Amino acid sequence: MSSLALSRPGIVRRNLGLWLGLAIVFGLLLAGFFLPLPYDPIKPDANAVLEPPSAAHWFGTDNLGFDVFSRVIAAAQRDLPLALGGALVAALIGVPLGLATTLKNRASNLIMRGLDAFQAFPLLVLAIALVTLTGNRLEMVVLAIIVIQTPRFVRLIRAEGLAIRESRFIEAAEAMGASPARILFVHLLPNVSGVVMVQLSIAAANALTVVAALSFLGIGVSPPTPSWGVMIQGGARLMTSGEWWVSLFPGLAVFLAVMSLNLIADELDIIFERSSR
Amino acid sequence: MPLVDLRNVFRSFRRPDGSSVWAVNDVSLTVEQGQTTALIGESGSGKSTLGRLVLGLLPPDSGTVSFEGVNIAGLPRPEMRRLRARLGVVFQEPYESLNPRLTVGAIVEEPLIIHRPALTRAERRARVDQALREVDLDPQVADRYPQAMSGGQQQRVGIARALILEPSLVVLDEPTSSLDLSVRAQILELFGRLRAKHGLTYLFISHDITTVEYFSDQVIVLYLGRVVERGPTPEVLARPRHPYTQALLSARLSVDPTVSPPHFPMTGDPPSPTAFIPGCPLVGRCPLEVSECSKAPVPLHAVGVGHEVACIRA
Repeated sequence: MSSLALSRPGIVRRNLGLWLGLAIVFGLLLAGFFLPLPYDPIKPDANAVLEPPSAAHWFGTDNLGFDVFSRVIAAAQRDLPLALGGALVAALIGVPLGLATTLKNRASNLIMRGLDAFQAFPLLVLAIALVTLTGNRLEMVVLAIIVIQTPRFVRLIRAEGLAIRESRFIEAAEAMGASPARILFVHLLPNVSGVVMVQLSIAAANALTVVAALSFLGIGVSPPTPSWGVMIQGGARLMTSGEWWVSLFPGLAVFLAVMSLNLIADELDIIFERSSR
Repeated sequence: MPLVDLRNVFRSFRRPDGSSVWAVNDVSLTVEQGQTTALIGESGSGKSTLGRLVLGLLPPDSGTVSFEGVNIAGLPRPEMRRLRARLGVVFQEPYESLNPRLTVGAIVEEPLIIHRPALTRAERRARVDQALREVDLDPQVADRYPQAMSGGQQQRVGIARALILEPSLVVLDEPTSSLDLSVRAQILELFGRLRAKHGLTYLFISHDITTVEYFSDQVIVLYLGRVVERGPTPEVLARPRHPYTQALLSARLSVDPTVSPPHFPMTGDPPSPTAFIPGCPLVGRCPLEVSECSKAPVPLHAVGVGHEVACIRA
């Protein structure tokens, strides 16, 4: 029984990194929504200001008396869905656009030149302007992520798609009278789904740092709402006076989530590389 | 009316350095209903380009390409797509011509989805089963992916896909040259059987004279994008008149080791494909060459019943 299990590694053992990455990301997400918190993340305790980590406050408290642990967990509820949602919408817009640009016509040239002009702007600055102009709400950060990530999907899918378009099976589909839409969605799309998945996890990791960077800069945040970037920013000044815990724990949370998403991307890359052989 | 009629077709390709390659140079040919017409020539002779021109996958630079009496060169795209139901194609590389992300069933079913929208799912599945059986595959392979099959099986899937709409013309673009010798014979036998059963018309593109001899009714010999000789296959192979055809035949190995093929001396390499050739393309390699050969293009002229050759010495 045990020798059988050893000779045939299960799906979990074979792609350990993938499952570990998924477990951490979804663990953080579920914790953000469902974990009972020891303290209210948006109610400060004036009697417990800047307390170091202890049994009562696992990650300590900050200069206003907020419990850092409760806020790190609660921030996952907001930061992760923003990042994942933004990356997903960017993929939903970018993939069809990228596929469309593999058609050698005037419209595809127009899209690519437009993209060139668009990407010539510093995208983070553009994102800051966008969020500020649309009412400075954290939800608008999704818009910023879409703006930054969509061109990357378009370019990647175009590059992959142009190579696949030269394949014999595409010529066979044209010879049987398949419509351009059919060639794009039945023949091209399934052959780029691997790189889409990989890019999706890379984009999510990148989006998370954008969320953190924007809220670090105070863009889109309305104060007591917990967000990793705001917490890192708030604690940055305290590092020099020895209160390291205020910044460190939200920083670790960002690090953990980004690493996990990158791990997922790497593993998916290996899996799709293997299956395309 | 011939099924396919090409008149004075030219097609060139521009190379990155700006020079042009004349892949097809003033070719006129016909494919008769119910016959197998072979296009033979070495690589670079323009035979695959001709196949793509006939399929409407490439537009000609000039000349007309008629299929069932309609010039397809200027046809609007939607009409061309509709016409494709009557054109089948089997490519050389069976694996590359099948989408690796689709099952065999989905691959064979696709022409039905495109051209027979009135069929129900169950009707389509029944037709796919039947098509797979016709190419000697177990209908159960419909659930498999092409990667899980052998080269011969993959080519059978390609054939089932090409024939499921019962097309009036099937272009076979070197369909056996990437297969093992034993599998090659089986696939040729299958093509022969399907032709007899459905009265198919094949345009058979090949560089292998033995296959052409076994398989075709008419043969067209191409050299550097031009027709140099054509006629009924037994006649052309028994009495080749063009020096190039003779050289091609003398390069063939006999199954009888005591018979040495007639030696035909052809020297040198083919000229650069971008070079302008005012006369016969064989100038410089031909043992029968005279000074007239390089002066003007040599037209085809009849040397027998349906047998034509482009050589002033023939």
